[in-house]
Amino acid sequence: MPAITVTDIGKAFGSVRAVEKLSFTAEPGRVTGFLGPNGAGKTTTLRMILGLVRPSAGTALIGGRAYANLPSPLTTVGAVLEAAAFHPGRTARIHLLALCTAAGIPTGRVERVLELVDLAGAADRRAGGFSLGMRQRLALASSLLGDPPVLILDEPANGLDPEGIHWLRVLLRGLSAEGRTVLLSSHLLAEMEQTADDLIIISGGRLVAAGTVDELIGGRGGLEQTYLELLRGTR
Amino acid sequence: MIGLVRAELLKARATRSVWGLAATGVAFAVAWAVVDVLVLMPLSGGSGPADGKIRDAYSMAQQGYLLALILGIVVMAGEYRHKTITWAFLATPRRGAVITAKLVACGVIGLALGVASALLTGIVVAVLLTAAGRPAGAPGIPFVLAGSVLSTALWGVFGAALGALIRNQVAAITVAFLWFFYAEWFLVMLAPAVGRWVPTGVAKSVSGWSRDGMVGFDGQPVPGALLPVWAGGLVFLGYALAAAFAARVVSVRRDVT
Repeated sequence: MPAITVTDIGKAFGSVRAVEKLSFTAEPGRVTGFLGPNGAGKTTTLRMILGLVRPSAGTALIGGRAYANLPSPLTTVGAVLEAAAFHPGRTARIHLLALCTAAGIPTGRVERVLELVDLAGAADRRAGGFSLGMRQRLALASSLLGDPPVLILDEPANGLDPEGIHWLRVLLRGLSAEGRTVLLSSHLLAEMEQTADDLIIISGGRLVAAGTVDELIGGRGGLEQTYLELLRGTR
Repeated sequence: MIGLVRAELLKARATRSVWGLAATGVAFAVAWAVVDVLVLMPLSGGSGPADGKIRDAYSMAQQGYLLALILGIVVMAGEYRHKTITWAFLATPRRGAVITAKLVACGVIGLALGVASALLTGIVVAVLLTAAGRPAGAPGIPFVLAGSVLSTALWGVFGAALGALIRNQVAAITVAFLWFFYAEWFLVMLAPAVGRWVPTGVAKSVSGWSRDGMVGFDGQPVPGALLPVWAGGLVFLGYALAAAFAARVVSVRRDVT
C-alpha cells in the first residue's frame, strides 16, 4: 500500500504564500489527521497532492509518483474535496457511472458503493435536491469507486448527522485496518482524537507539529487543549 | 479516449438542458425553413434562379447552429460552473485528454442536432413546396443538407472550445452573442471583403448557403461573398481546431481551486 509523501511543498497565489516548505508523510495502515485553522493551507495542500493545484515548489508523491503520473488514478487514490460539487441536474447513479466510464472501472462498482454509503435509495434522484449530508455521502461513494489503497478526505464529516459521523469513523478505521492510507482533514477535534493515529498540524502554510496522537497530546487534557496550545505558540 | 468521450456523452444525455437546447436548435431550423418557403420565397417573386432558392430553403437546416454553439459552451463551461471539472480531472489527470474528449463529444452532439435538423427541415421543405405546387427538388440538395450537418457539428466543437477558454458560462455566452451578432456584422460593414473569412461566413459556405447574407456599407450584397464549400469547410475546421488547441493549452495550466 502506497504512502503519501509531501516534501518541501509550497504554493504562492500572487503575493500570498498559502503553503511554505511543508513536509510530511501519511503512512499505510494509519489514519493521518490533518489539522489547522481556516486559511492554514490544508485544502491547497490536499489539492496539490491531487494534482489540481500546481505547487510553486517541492513535490507531493503517492507511492513515489505524482498524481498526474499515476497509471490508474481512481483505483489508486480516492478523494473527497471540501464542499464536493455535483451537477444539480444529474442523478447520483449517472455521476458514478460517468466516473466509472471515464476511469475504466467496472460499472458493477456503482451499486456496491451506493449501498456502502447508504445512498442506494436515492440513486436515481437528481443531486440538486440532495442535502449536504447526502452530497457528502455521494462524494464518499465516488472516492471508494475504484476501491483505492489511498484515501484523501477534506472535511468528509461536514454535514453528516451524529449517526453519519459514527458510521464514517467506523468506515475509516476499517479501511486503515485493511492497510490503506487515509489522510483526513477536519475541524472536529473530538472526532479526530478518536479516528486518527497520526496528526499533522499546520498554520499559516507551515508545519506546527507532527506525530502520533498520543505523542502530541502527551500529558495534556485532550486534543482540543493540545491544538489550542500548539497554535498559541505560533502567534 | 473512447471511454472519456463515452463518459461525456453519458453525462450530456442525462442532462435536461442539453435536450432542451438541442430541441430548440432543431425547432429553429424548421421554423426558418417554414418562414423561408412561406414568406421569403413568395416575396422574392419570380426573379433569380429557382434551383438556388430551393437549395436555400433546404439550407435552413443549418439554422440550429446558434444552439449548437450554446450547447458546446454549456457542456464545457457548465463543468466549471458546477465545479464538476474537479471529478473529471481526478479521474483523468491528463487534462488535455479530458478537454479533447469534451470537444469530440460536443462535435457528436452537434452532429446529432445537425442530423435531426436536416431530416426534419428536409421533410418540411419538401412537403411545403409540393403542397404549393412547386418543384421540391434541385441539384445539390444532399450536399446542402450534409453541409448543414457538418457546420452544426463544428459549431458544437467551437462552442466547447469557447467554454473552456472563458470558463464563466454567462460570460462565454455573452461574448459569443456580442461577437456573432454585433462585432462580426460591424467588421463586415467596415471591410466587406472580410465577410467570407469570419466564422459565420465560413460556416454559411459549408452549409451550402448561396444567399449571401452579408451586406456592405452601400446596402448592397457583397459580391461573391462566400468561399467555396470545401474552402469554407477547411477554414471553419481550422477555426475550431485553433480554438480547441488554445482551450487545451489554457486548461492544462490553470489551477483548479
